[in-house]
Amino acid sequence: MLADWLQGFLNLLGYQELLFLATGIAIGLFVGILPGIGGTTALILLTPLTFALDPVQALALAGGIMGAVPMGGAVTAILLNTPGQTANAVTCLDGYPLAQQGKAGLAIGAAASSNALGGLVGAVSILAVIPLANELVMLFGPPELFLLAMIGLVLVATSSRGGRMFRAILSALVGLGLATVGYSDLAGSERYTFGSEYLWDGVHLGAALIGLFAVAEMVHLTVKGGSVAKADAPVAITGMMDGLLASFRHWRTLLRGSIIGTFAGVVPGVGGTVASFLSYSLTVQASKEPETFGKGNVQGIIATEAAINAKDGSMLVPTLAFGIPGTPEMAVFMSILVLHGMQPGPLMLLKNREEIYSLVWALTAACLIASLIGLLLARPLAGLTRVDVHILAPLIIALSFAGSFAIDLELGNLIVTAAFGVLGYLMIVLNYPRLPLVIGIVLGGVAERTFLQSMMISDGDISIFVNRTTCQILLAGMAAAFLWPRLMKRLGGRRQDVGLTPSKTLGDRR
Amino acid sequence: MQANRRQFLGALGTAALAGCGGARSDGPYPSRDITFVIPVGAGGGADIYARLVGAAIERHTPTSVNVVPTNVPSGGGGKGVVELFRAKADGYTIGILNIPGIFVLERLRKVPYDFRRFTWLGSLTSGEHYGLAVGANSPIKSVADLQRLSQRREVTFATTGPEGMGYTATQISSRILGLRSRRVAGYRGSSDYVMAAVRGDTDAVVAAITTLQRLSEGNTVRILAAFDTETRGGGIQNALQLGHPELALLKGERVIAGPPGLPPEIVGKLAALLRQSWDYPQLRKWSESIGETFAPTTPEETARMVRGRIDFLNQWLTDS
Amino acid sequence: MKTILGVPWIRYLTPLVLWLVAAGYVALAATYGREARMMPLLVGGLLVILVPLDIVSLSETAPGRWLRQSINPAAASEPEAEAEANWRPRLVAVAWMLSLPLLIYLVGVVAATFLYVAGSLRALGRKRWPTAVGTGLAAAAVGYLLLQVLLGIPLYEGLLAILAQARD
Repeated sequence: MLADWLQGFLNLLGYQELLFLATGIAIGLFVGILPGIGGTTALILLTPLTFALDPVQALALAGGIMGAVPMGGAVTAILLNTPGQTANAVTCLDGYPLAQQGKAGLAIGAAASSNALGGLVGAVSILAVIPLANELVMLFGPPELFLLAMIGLVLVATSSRGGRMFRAILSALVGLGLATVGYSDLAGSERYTFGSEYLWDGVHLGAALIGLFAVAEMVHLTVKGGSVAKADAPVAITGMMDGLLASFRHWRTLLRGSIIGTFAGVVPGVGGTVASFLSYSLTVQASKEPETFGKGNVQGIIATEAAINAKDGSMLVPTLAFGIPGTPEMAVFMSILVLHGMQPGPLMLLKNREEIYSLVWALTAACLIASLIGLLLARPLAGLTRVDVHILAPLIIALSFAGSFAIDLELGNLIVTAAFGVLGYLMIVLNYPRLPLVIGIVLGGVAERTFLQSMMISDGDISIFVNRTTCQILLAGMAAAFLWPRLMKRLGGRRQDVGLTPSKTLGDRR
Repeated sequence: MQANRRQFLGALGTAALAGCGGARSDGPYPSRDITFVIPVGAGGGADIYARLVGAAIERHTPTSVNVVPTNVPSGGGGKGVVELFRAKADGYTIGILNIPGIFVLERLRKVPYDFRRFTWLGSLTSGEHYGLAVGANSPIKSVADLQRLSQRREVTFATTGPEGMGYTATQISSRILGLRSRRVAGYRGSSDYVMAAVRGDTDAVVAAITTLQRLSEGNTVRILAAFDTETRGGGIQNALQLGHPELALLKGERVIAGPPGLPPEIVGKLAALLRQSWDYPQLRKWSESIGETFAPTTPEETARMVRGRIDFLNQWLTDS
Repeated sequence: MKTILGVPWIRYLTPLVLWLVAAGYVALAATYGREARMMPLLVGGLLVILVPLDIVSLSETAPGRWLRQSINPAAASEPEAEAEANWRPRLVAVAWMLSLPLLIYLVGVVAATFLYVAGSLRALGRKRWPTAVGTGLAAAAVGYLLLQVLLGIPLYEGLLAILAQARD
C-alpha cells in the first residue's frame, strides 16, 4: 500500500501533470472568490477539456480545482460577508466582524493555515476512512439522514448569538418554507410555482445566496458609507502572522474541526453542510467565553475552515466507493472519472488505487498552495476592506448579478438574486439572522424527502426514528445539542451575578 | 469558448448592421455551429454520451462547424426537451432524448410538446437492460422467493423519483412478474437506491444490469434476474427463463433527435454523420466500459423502435 | 409618525407582512395532496403561531417587555430605531440596486455593468466623470474577459440586441 501511495505521488511529478495541477489551483481560487460560481461550475466547464487528457492529468486538474476553491470561498466570507459555498456561511460569523475591526489580515491568515492543516488531516484521514466506508454508508439510511438534518437545523438555531435564537427559528422556518417551492417528486406535485417553468426546480440556491449575502451587504454598506473596515479600526500589520500561528495555538479546535469534518463528510449530502456547523457549535460550547463568538473570535474561523477542508476530502469516499455523489460537485467529478475509465464502486479502491492516491496528493497540494497564495495575498486583499464603498459596492453588485446569471444562464436567477437582495437587506436592518434561512433552504429538501422515505420504509410507523441504533445515537446527540447551551447559560448567568462576565452584547449582525 | 466569442461578436456585428439589410447566405449544410441540447445536468451518463457523440460528429464536419453541447437540466429535463421541440427545423439544433424518460415526463405533468412528432435521427448503442437484485444478506434467493413473499405482503423496492428510469423499470417489471409491491422512491441515483436494498431499507431493487454487476463485484448485492436474453450462471435467470420475454423490451435508450419537420435531406446528412461517428475511439471505449454494444439505426429504424417502445410502455403503465 | 402600542407603526410592517405571507402559504398548502401539504402545513403553521410573538415583542407593553426579556432579546436592539429614521436613503439604495437586473435584461450583462458602475460612481459616489466612466469600462472589460473569454460563459446580450438581430 505504501508503494501505491508513493507511486501516486510520483505520477503527479510529470511536467504536464504539474501544469494541470497549477491551472486547476488558479481556476479554483479564482472561482472560489467569485460569488456564485463555485467548484461545480468550474468542473462542468472544464469537463470537455478533460476528454483529451489522460487519467492522472484529469485528476490533477480536478483535484487542483476542488482543493483550491475553499480558500477562495473563505476570503469572500471574511471580506464581504458572502459565503463562497454554503459551508463557508459559518466562516462569515466571525470572519466578517474581524474584517470590520480592521483585522482582515488576521482572519485570512487563520483561514489559510486552518485550511492547509485541515486539508492535510483530511488527506490522511481519507486513507483511514476508506476501509470503514462500507460500514459508514450502511449506517445512514433515510431515517438517519432525517435526524441528521434535524440536528443541523437545531444547531443553526442554537448557534445564533446575541439573543437572536427566536428569530433564528423564524428565519429557519422561512427557509424551510422556501425549500418546498417547486416540483417535489415524492410529494408528487408542483407547489408554489404559480405556473412558472423556472420555479419548477425550486428556489435557486446559488442565486439566493448571492442576493442574500453579497448584494444585501453591499446595499447596506452603500447606505452606511465609509468602508468595510470601520474608519477608526487600526490596520493590523502583523495580523497575518498572528493568524497563521493562531491555528497552532488553538490546535485543539483545529483537530476537533478536522475530525468532525472527516466523519461528517462521509455521509453523502447532508454531512458536508452540517460539518462546519457542528464544528463551530461544539467549539463555542467547549469555550470558556462563548459570548465572544460571532463578534470576531478567530477560533470560529479555525473550527469552520478545518472542518470544511477535511470534509472535502472525505466527501470523495462515498463517491469513489459506491458511486453515490453527495453534492452536485461530486456528481460532475464522478463523470470525469467515468470518462477516463474509472468506475466508482467497490472495485475502484482495488483497481485504481494509484490514481486515487494521485488525486489525494493533488487535493492536498492544491489545498496547501491555495492557502499559501491566500496568505501572500492577505495584505492586498485586506486592503479591500479599506476601499471606499461607493467604488466597491457597485463593482461587487455588478459582479454578483453577472455571476448569478452565469451559473446556468437563466435570466430568472437575476430576479431571485434581486428579491433575496431586498430580503437580505431587510433582515440586516431589522436584525434577523440570515444564516438559518440559507440552512433551512438547503436542509429543507433533504429533511422532507428523507422523512417521506422513512415513512415509506416503515409503512407509516413513526417509531422507525427511535428503533434503529444509529437513530438513537443521533437523537441523544440532538438532545445534547439543544440542552447544552441552556445549561451553559444557566451557569453563565450565575457567573454574571458575581460580576465575572460582561452582560451587554454589542449589536452583532450577519 | 471560441464559438461563444464568435457568436457574441457576430451578434454585435449583426446588431450594428441591422439597418443595412444584408441577407446572410447559408452554404451547404452544415455551414455553422450545431447546438446539441442535452436535457440532463453535466455528469450524468447521457451527458457524457452526448458530448462524446458531439465530438465524434465534429470530426466529420467542416472545420468551422462545431457541435456545441448545451446542458438544459431544468424542470427534470423538461425544459431541454421543450427547447428541442420548439427549435427551428434547419438542422442546427439536435438533441439527445431518453426513452422512456420523455414518455414518463409527459404523463406526469402537462408538457407543451408532443414527443411523437420529434424527428428521430438515430441511436448508436443497444440501450441498457435492467435486472432484479437483493442485498447479499437477504434471505431471498430467487425470483420465485420474491413472488411467494408478495403473496403474504407487499414487496418493497427502493428506487428513484417518478421521473427516473429506475422508477418506471421497477413499476413495469414488478407488474409483469406479478408482484404486489410498494416503492420507496426519492433516492438519488441507482447506486444510492441499490445500497438502500443492501442496507435493508427495502426487500429488492430493479436497476440497470451493468450497475448491478458493478456493485455485485463487492459482494454487496445478489442479482436474481437479468431482463435480457443472455445466459448467465450463478442462479441468475433471464427474461426467457422467467417466462416473460417481454421483460427484454424494458430498456433505457438514448436517441438522437431533431425538432419536428426536419427536411429529409438534412435528416439524411445527420444520419450519415451519426453513422460515421462510431469510429471515434473515445466513444467506443466508453460504450464498452458501460457494457453497451454498437447497434446503429437509421432514422426509419429508430422511429419504428420508438413506436414499439411507446406501445410497450403504454401497455404496462396503466396508472402511475 | 403615528405610534401603536408605544412604537412607530412602521416597525410592525415587516413581521406583519411575513405573517400574511405565512397565512397565505398555509391556505395554499391545504389545497395540495396529502404528502405534498404535510411539510408546508407544519412549517407555515409554526410561522403563523410564532410570528405574532415577534410582533408583540416589538411593542412597549407588559407582555412585549416580558417577551423581549425571555425569548426575543433581539427585538430590542438599536438597528430598528435607526432604520425608521432614515428610510429614504435606504429606499433609494435598494431601488438603485434593483435597476441593475432590469438593465441587464435590456442591454445585456456587459453593457449593463458599464452603465451601472459608471452611474453609481457618478450619482451616488459623486466621483468625477473620468473616474466613473473609466471604472465602468474597466469593470465591464474585466467581467467580459473573465466570464466570457476565460470561462467560456456566453453572457446575455440583452433584449434590444436580440430584437435587432431578429430583424435581420
